[in-house]
Amino acid sequence: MTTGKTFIILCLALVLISCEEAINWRLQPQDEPLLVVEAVLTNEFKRHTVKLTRPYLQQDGTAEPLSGAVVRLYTGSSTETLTEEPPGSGLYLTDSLRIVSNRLYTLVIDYGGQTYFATDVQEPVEPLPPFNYRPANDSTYVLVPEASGDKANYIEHRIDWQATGFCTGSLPCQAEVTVYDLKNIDVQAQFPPDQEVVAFPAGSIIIRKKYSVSEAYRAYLRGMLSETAWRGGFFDTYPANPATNLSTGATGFFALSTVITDTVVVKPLN
Amino acid sequence: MSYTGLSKYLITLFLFGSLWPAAAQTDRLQQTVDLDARAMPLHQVLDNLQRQINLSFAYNPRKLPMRQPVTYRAIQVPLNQVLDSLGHYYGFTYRLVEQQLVLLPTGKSRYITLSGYVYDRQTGEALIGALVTADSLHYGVVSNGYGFYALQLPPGSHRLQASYVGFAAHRQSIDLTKEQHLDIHLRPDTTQLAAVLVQGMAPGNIELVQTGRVALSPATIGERPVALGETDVIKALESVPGISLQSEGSTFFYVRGGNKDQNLILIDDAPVYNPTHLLGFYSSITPDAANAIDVYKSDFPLSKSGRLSSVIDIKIKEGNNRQVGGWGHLSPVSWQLGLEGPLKKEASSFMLTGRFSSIKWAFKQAFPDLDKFLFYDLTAKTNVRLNSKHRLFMSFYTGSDAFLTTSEGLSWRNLNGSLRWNYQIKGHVFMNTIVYGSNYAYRLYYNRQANQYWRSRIGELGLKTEISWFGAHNREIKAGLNITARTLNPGNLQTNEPVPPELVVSVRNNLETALYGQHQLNITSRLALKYGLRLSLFSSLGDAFEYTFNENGLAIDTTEYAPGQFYNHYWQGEPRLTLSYALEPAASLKFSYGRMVQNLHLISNTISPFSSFEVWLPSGPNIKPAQADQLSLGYYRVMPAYGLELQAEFFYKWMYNQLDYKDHAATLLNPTIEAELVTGLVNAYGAEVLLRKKQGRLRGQAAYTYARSQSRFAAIDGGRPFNNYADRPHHLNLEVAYDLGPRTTLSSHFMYLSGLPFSSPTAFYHFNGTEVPVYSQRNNDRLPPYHRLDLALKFILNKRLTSRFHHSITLSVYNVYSRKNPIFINFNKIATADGKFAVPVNLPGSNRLTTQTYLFRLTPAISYQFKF
Repeated sequence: MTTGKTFIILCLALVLISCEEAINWRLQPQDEPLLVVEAVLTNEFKRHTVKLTRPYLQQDGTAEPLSGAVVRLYTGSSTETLTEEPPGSGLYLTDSLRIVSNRLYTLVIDYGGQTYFATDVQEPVEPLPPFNYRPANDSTYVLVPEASGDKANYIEHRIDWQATGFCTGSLPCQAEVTVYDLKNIDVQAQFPPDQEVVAFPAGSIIIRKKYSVSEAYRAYLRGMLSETAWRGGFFDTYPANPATNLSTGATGFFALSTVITDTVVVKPLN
Repeated sequence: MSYTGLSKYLITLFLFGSLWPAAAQTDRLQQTVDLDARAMPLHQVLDNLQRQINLSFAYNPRKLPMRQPVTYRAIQVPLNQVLDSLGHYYGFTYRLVEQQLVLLPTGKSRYITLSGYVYDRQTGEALIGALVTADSLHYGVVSNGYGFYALQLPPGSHRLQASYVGFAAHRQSIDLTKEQHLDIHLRPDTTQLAAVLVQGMAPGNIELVQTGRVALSPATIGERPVALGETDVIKALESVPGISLQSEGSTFFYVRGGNKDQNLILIDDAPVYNPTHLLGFYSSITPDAANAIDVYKSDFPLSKSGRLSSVIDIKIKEGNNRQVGGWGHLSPVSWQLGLEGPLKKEASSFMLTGRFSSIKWAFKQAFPDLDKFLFYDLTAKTNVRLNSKHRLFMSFYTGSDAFLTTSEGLSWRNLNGSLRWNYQIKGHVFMNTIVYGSNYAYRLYYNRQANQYWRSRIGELGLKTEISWFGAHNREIKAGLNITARTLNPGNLQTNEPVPPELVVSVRNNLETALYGQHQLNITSRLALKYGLRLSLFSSLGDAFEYTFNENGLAIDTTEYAPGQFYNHYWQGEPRLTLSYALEPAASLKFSYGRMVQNLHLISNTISPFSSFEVWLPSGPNIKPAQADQLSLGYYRVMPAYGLELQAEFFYKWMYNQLDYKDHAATLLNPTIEAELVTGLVNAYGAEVLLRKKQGRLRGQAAYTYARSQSRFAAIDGGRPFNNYADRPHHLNLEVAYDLGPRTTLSSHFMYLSGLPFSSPTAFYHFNGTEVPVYSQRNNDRLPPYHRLDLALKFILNKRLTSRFHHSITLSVYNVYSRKNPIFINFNKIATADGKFAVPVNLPGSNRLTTQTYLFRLTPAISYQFKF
């Protein structure tokens, strides 16, 4: 159900008389004693990372790593204790392992005399859709986000055009674009704000990685996008914190995904 | 002497037959007396007379209504005339026996009803809220919502007076010997400088036993400076203390701390669910179509129940029944035409007006596949005076928006109609019966070729009947019956396919039956009381399916209900109590308590000021009726020497079973939408002051409100109270219109409103390369205060001001000092190369900014109006 063009037209009426500008806004920061967990563990055989930080108080701030926590991963049959590497980084790594389906994983974090925990299950991933892009202008292209499969997912695109002739000067020649397809029906998502245009030339190499999403992770991502990619249009919803699967006092998400990946080279379109 | 015993009565009866000198009696009965009684008990009236005439009264207090309040005025009137008159009134004759006047009951106390309608002499329109009184009374009656009035008077000669703001006072002598129908025709008087006090009595709100009511004049609304020259009834509500619009460009409004869905908008008694055009930039109700606009913020009429916070009662013009007239309005956004005239002179008339957008051309070039980009509204009314007792009215209203490309689009439409029958059963008994229908449908097309769309709808069919009985001493008894049947589709997909898609969200049907009664009376000459009760039964009705949820909000069962099967009932009582105390003829103090119940709930968790995909759900097994208790205390005063009217009101309001939403609730196409809702309490209080001057070369009003509104939901912020959208502590509104000359009027409007509460992040963190905000509490922050100044200059273009064709142009400037009043603050955008702002997509990037979005800055406009 899309109504993109109508929205554009209708909002043009708004846009014609509306104006957006940057301002200095004094936030009312609060030292949140929150523990932030960023962990997406996959079926890839590797050392997976659980990142622990504290929230920061201003936009574009730097997250303070949370060091010294004891982080364990319960797999149902075994327990893995993660190690902080490098020390003081707030990055806690597993041994090399692969997350498997149909098993409940529990993350347990002990820090400051408190214990935080979260669980998730891994869903299978559906095949990657055909790569779709369109011209942005005479020489560059943009992604065409499309729904794929029947289940919620997201596709990470790592785009690299360093090897092309368009990579000159000081501008970066790499980009990372994630396209979420949460199979949701939200006014806010139907009518999102303008998005940054990431254009890439023919010859760019794009590594796509598609992530499966559990129901809890989907709810979290929907909340996260409501507060980020979808916020700033004309039909925003009440701001709120995304629904975490972490126990009280922590935020972020402990997610398990199945991933599938491919690499495409952008060809010129006629 | 006041009361006598039975023995005295027997003695007087014994003396009754004896002889006495007739001439002496006549002399004594013709001595003149003065009497100025205001709701004075009859026995006190007799005491008063007795002190003046050196005679005593004898009577049986059990046979005469000695406690009956008497309102009577006589200056140097012979005693026998006074006694004759009182005897007519209270059912006695009298005889002079020695030094005693013996009062003998006749068993007939008499009042005669004088009733009729108050009309505008020029157009034949009924005048609502006109004050009618007689010289012997110390109170007036106010014509009701149909212009009807009824007075109970003693027989004899009376001097009748009627007044209405903007009209010359009408005075007329009548000799009342039997029940009489008298229509009063008031003549417009633009030179009148002030609302007149008739016989020392104040008009309008002073007399009404009513709190929280503000009457808006369509003419005054038409005089306000407005954005892009579009006059607008809903936008004009911002001038009423206690009402705040959500933001610039919005027609959502909040009344006394209540939510935006707690306002009942009635057009000739039929409800309108989405009175917006262009997503809410304009309302679909133009003042040119209105005869009267009454705003109730408390003490709602029992016949107009169903919302917690306000009733906006709009009466459509009936149409000039004397001559054909018309009007038009041309602005940069739309054009409007209206026509009215008699179908049969002074017996039947019509009114037809329409407004049509004229903005498609602006978008057609940019979007060649644009099919429709329009809005329109049409209002029509006709009425027939069958005779002096029967009147019929038919009203029709539709407002629609359509923004469609060849492949997709949005459209919504309101369609209302009502048939009203006014029947004056007796002189003092008035019946009003209305049958109405209302339909609101919203469509979101996602494939026009296949006619596939998302659709939500409310259909309503209702019957209202009310009988009013007007008694002496301003006594009024009302009783009524309301029956309403509704069907609500909270949003489902529709296609043209032979087998329609299965309903995802259950259609809900309900039947609401209400009985009510109200009694108004003067307890003393100063104190009036109004009390009433509305009892209603709200029943859910199949064909429907309902979910059963466990304590965690998970659906665990579904129950299907067959067509016509009743399955859920709510009995509801709404008591009302109002006291009015006259401090002096020009001032009164009023108090009211009222309970209101609401069974329709707007489900929308958007913070947008623009109308979008709102759906409505009724009370049912999973949604309890919302309820509010409100106390209101007001002081009302008119200052006729200055033409000023003052209203000051304090209120406190408790609202229960209020709906809010779980974090990131999914409200669209969600079959278990009730699981996304949470219930809680809202408390609101405030003080409102309104000073108005409606007439004269300099006109205007000043309104100030201090009000707070806080919500408390166990499921939000752990039950901590938070400021809701209606919490705008300070609201100042100043409107001034000044006639610079006979052809030129300068009008201005200044408004200051505390900023809208909103949630700003208190911290941030990263996830998947995205900066995610952390919120500590709902609405912890506030947008900057909203304020702006608007000016308009109206030039009458006629060479001769007296000519029938009247035309003018208005130059208006909205937001004169170009204030940036933000409607949104965002914390998640970056600046793009072309100087705009966008949400970052390239995740390694950063440099996020805080941005504000605002709408109109300095906006000039020109509009043209004509009338004939």
